[in-house]
Order: sequence, then structure tokens, then C-alpha cells
Amino acid sequence: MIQVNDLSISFGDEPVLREINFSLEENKTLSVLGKSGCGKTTLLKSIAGIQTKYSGAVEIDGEQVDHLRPQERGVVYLYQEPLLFPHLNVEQNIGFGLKIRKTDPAVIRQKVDKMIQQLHLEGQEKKMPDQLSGGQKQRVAFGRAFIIHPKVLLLDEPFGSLDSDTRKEMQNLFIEISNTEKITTIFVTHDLKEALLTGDFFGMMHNGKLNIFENRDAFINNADTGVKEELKFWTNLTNKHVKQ
Amino acid sequence: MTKKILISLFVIGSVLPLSASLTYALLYSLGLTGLLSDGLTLANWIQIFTGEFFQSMIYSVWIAFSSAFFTITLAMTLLFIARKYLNRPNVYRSLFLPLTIPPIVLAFVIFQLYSGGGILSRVAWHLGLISDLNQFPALVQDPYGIGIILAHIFLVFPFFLLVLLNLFENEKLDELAAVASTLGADPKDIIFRIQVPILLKGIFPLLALYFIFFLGAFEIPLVLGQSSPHMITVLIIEKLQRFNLADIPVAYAMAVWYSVICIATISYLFTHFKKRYSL
Amino acid sequence: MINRSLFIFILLCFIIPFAVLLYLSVSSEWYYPSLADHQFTAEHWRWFLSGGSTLMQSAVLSILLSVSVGFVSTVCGFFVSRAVAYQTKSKWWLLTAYFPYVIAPVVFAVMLNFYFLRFNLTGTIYGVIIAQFFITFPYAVLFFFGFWNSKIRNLENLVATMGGDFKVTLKEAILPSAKGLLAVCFFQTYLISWFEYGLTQFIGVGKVQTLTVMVYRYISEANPYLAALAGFLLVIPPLILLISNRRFLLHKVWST
Repeated sequence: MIQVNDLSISFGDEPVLREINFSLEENKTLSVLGKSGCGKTTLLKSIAGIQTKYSGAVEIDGEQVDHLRPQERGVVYLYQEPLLFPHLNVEQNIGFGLKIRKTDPAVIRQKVDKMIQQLHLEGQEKKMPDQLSGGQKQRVAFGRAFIIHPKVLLLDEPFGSLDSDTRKEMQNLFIEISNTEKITTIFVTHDLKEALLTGDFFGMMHNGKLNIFENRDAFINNADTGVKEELKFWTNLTNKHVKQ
Repeated sequence: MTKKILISLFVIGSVLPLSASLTYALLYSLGLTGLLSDGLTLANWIQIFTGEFFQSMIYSVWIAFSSAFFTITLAMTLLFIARKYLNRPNVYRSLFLPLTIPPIVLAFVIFQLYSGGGILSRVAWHLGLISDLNQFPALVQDPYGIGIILAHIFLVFPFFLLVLLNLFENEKLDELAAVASTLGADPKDIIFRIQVPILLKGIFPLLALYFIFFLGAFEIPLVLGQSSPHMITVLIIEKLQRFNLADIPVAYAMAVWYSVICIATISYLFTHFKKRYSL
Repeated sequence: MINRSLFIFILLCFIIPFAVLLYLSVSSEWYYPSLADHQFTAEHWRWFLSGGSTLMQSAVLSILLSVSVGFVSTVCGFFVSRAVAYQTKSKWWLLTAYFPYVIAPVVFAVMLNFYFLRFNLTGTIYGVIIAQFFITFPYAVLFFFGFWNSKIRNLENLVATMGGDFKVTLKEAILPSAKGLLAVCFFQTYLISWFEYGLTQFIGVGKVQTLTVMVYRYISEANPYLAALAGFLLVIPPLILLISNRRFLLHKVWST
């Protein structure tokens, strides 16, 4: 599980994160809704240890990790861009984390094969990143992260650059894999539907502050999240159409 | 109509001179034309793979390889030690200084610095390290081509450093490093498993191109090279300008052979490396 | 701390050649093991600046030669690359333009010499200009090739559909975008010619005495003072270009 206490950062005089507090149970997904510039990337980078100049505390499985380097925290951060290693092929990219950990090659082979099946990437193993589509690249990035079973997975608008069909595909894939692999995940998005689909718990970030909702209903009913407005739009459209 | 004229100009100004000159040189080397031509013969071509000419080829490859190797090693090392510092405007700008020096001038300067009677030798004398200029180690006109290699490195490594700096940004190596570290890689892994392989892959076409440039160097080996073996270009000129007429067709064979290597290399790079970088 | 020392070390390495050239150009009777206790003199510079010296003539010749080569290559290269770029199989034409670029100029000169002798071009300035053009012109074609992309083509088509002929297209669509590149190409081809020794020496047979030829002549005559002076003159234009716009110095042929 992960717990964040009073996390704050300012860049110069500008506060970017203001006393962020939340905790997330093991193997659950927290969906955080937020527009660009609200501080969500800075929050994720702080938890991952890529951003180190923060005040407050981050605890993972009861242990404080603020003094630990990124490679020691067991937290994987996925950017919006897949950021695959361009000189490694699909299976080498996926197996990278295991190779670094000096895992037995036979075990790497087995785990990579299994992950490739889960990602529906059969036949693409030897391809280089520049030969893959956007969706395929993102799947490889996922596989690379999931295969090492991090303590926490941080997803920063992972499907933001994909078209709507591929996006839907990836959302379903994420739900499928996270149910199988059971990893504590924080999923940041500006897409309402995506937040609702992927989350077990919900939050909304605005101007450096994080508001956590009690449950799904509280998220839906809150005026700021925009769910009600969206529902109203589609209801009105349907009514107009019926009247015609 | 104008387009046809312009394409003709391209052919006349670019394609024709090289084709015509290669053809003449080839015919001369095969004994089909020239002062001592006696009909078709492969003797001259066989001769470039023996004796003096072959030694020259080996020596040139050694110089080209060493120059390329030390250039890229130095550039990479500096990149990782001081990348953020090198991006500062004045430092970045200073990397352009070696590009302002013509090779013949640099060769002259290197000679004045590193020869037995040169500045470094005089400094050593004043420091009491040597008592005679003959005691100063041979750094120019020496068997290993140290002076030549130094001159090549001086001229070229700043350019490589500039290219690597840009490549580092374009390939997003900082972000990849962050990704790799969250996957568990330590700094050594990040440099040697991720960043260096990507940089080497990106810079390979340029490195191959400069290998060819070093191979065909003329001014620098002319001043800093030893009397034997010469580098290919110096040997070709020497053979063409000396009195032994029998050497001329062999020199032409060497010139054609060297040109073919250049053409083959650039053709290979051009067809296999689509992705180029911008500076 | 280490970065700062490194930077100072690199800067020293880069500045030393200029310092050596200047130092030797004002020296005289520089016998071993003298470092600073020999005669310093402004005589070499005075002789050069007196106007009638052979070195001054060389400098003027070099400037005229390089300006001619640079100008003609740039203009021809600009228009020819457009014609080549708009051909369907342009990729392979482009490849042939690389060949004169990679082959050492002196070797190219060696193989060309037969024809230059035939046409009485050896030992003449025109011969040297033509020989250098055979190297700088393909370079200019390569240089401008990337400029003729779909954006420029679309712009040209736009002007055409609005009724403009090629002159109008050139003035309104092409030249405004190409101005900077034309300047860069001119200076780069100028520098290729300016730095060239082997080809100039071989085709010119020592009669076309550019500054680079003079440097080697003075080296052979064991006159390091004048060699240094000539060398210093050679680095002045590129230094000026570096200060005004360092883009002029970077060769971009292997880039998009």
C-alpha cells in the first residue's frame, strides 16, 4: 500500500503541490482526474523519486522512501509517451527490468513469453520500436512495467496520445492485466470515462490540491468532476432526438 | 525545358567529372592508355596489394581507425562527465573553434608544438626533463602516426561532441534514464546499457563517414607523416610526381581502388541509414 | 569544480593553435631551446601589409577565388537541387552527389588532371576554380536538397494558382524562406575552397599561389615565421564567421 503525507513542492515562489494527503490500499487503483497544469505529473514524479525536492513523506508498505533513489523505491512511472528503448526489440524491452535484476535467462524467457500473450503481441517479439504502432508501443511499455511486479505503478495519462479505438482497447487491456497482476496503481487522466472505468477509488486534482472521494457515487455526484454535466448533455441530446 | 537544362548541369557539374576521371584512371591502371601503355594488364592492380602500396593501405587503415576510435571515445567521455556544463552558451560556442582551422595550418601548428625542436620540447628542456632535443619522444613523423592522430582528434572531436549533445536531446536520453531507473537500473547500467548503445547507433553513419575522411587525409599526413609508409593519398601524389614512370599506373590503380571504397561506403550508409539527425 | 577545470583545459587546447600562430608570426631567430628569449619583431607583418608582398597577393587571390567558387556553387546548387529534388527518382541522383564529397579532393584532382592538361587548364586560376567547383557544387546540391520539401512545393503551387510566374514564385515564396540557407551555403562553400590545399596545389602546379599553398611553401623552406603569418591569415575569415553566426561553420549534409 502507499501513503502520502503533506507532500508539498514549490518551484521558486510558485506552489505546485499543496499538502497532498492520501492513502491507497494494496492492489487497488486510484484514478485521479485532473487537467493539464494541475500538478499531477509533479505528484507522480515525486512518488517515483524522479522529483526529489519535496517536503512531506511518502510511505510504501509502511516504510518511508523519501531518502531512496528511484531504482530502490519499487515504483514504476509510465509517461504518456511509451519511451521504449529504441535499440532493443519488443521482447528485450519487456525483459529489461528482469535482466537488470540478473534473473535467470530461462525465467526471463518464460515470463516474457507469458506477458507477450497477455498483451496480445504474439508475432511482434523481434520487432524494433520504430516498427510498432502507437498502441503496440504502449502495450510494450505496460508489459515492461508489469513484468517486474512493482510495488506501485504510476500511470501519467498513458493513453493520451492514442486514437479513440486504440484507447478503448488499451483501457480494457489495463483492466484485464491489473486484475491478473494485482498491482497498486495510481492512474492519472483528464478523461472522465477512463477515470470511471479504471478506478477502484477516485480523486480529483486542481491547482496543486488533491481531493479524494469516499466512493464512486461521491465522485459522480460532485459538481467539479463534470460527470453530472456530461450526463445532462447526453440526456438532452437523447430527448431532442426522441422528440424529433 | 529549364528542368532539363538544370538536370544536365547537374550531370555536367557532378556526375560527369567523377565518371570521366575514374574512367581515365581505370584505363591507365589497366594499361589501356597512358605513357607506357602496353595493352590490358592486371599487374598494376596486383601490385597495390603488395609491397609499399599494401603497407600504405594498412598504415592508412590504422590511422583512420585510431583517429575515429579516440575521437568518439573522447567525445563520449566528455559528454557524460560534463554534459550539463557543455550546454552553457559560451562553452558550447567554444566547441566551434577547431572548425576555423584549415588542416594544413593545424598540421603546421602540431609540428611546431610536438616536434623535437618544438615548443613542448623547449618547455621540457627548461624544466630540466631533457638536455637535448633528440631526447624528446617522437610524436610527429613517427611510426605510429601519433601526430596525425592528434591532429585528427583536435579537428573532429568537438564536432562529434556537438552532434552527441544534440543526439542526447533528440533521443530523450534523460527521460529514458528516468524510465530505466524506475525499472531498477543503477547509473552504470543506464550509461552502458541504454545511453551509450543508443548514441553509438545514432552516430554510426557519421563515424563511418569520418573514417573515410581520415583514410583520405592529405595535408596532415603530408606534414606530420613519416617518410615510409605514407598514407594512401600522399603515396599516390608522390608516385605521380616522381621520375619512375612505371609507378604511375600503379598510383592510378590505387586512386581508383580508394575511390571505389569511398563510393561503396557512402552508398551503403545512404541506403541503410534512413534516419538522420538534425544539428 | 571538475567541470570548470575541464572547461578551462579544453579552452586552452583550442586557443593554443591561434596563440602559436601569432607567437611565431612575430618571432625571429627562434633557435632551440629558446622560448621567450629570442627576437620578437613586427617585421613580417610590416612586410605583409606593405601591399606589394607576395603574401598579400596570395591573400587577395585566395579571397577572390573562394568568393567566386562559393558564389557560383551556391547559385547553381540552389536551382539544380530544386530540379533534382522534384524528380521522382531523386534519391539516387542525390547519392551520386555524395561521391565527390567523400573522395579526397587531391585524389579527385589526380584523376581529373588528364582532362585539365588537355584543355590547358592546369596551372591556371580558371583551372583551380573549375576543379574546386566540381567539389563544392555537388556539396551545394546536397545542402539545399532538404529545403525542397512538400511545404515549399505547396507554397509554389499556391503562388502559381494565384497567377504568379516563376519569377514571382521565386521572389514571394522561395527566397524569403531560403535567404538564411543561401548565406550559410555560400560561407560553407567559401570555406571549403579557402581551406583547400591538395587539389589547388596539384591542379595549380604551384603557380596558383593561394594562402594554403604559401603555408606549405614556407614550411618546405623552413620559414616557420611566414608559415605562421599565412596560417593566421587563413583563420581570420572563419573566426569572423564564428563570431557572427556559428551556423556557417557546421556541415549539415548528413541531416534532414
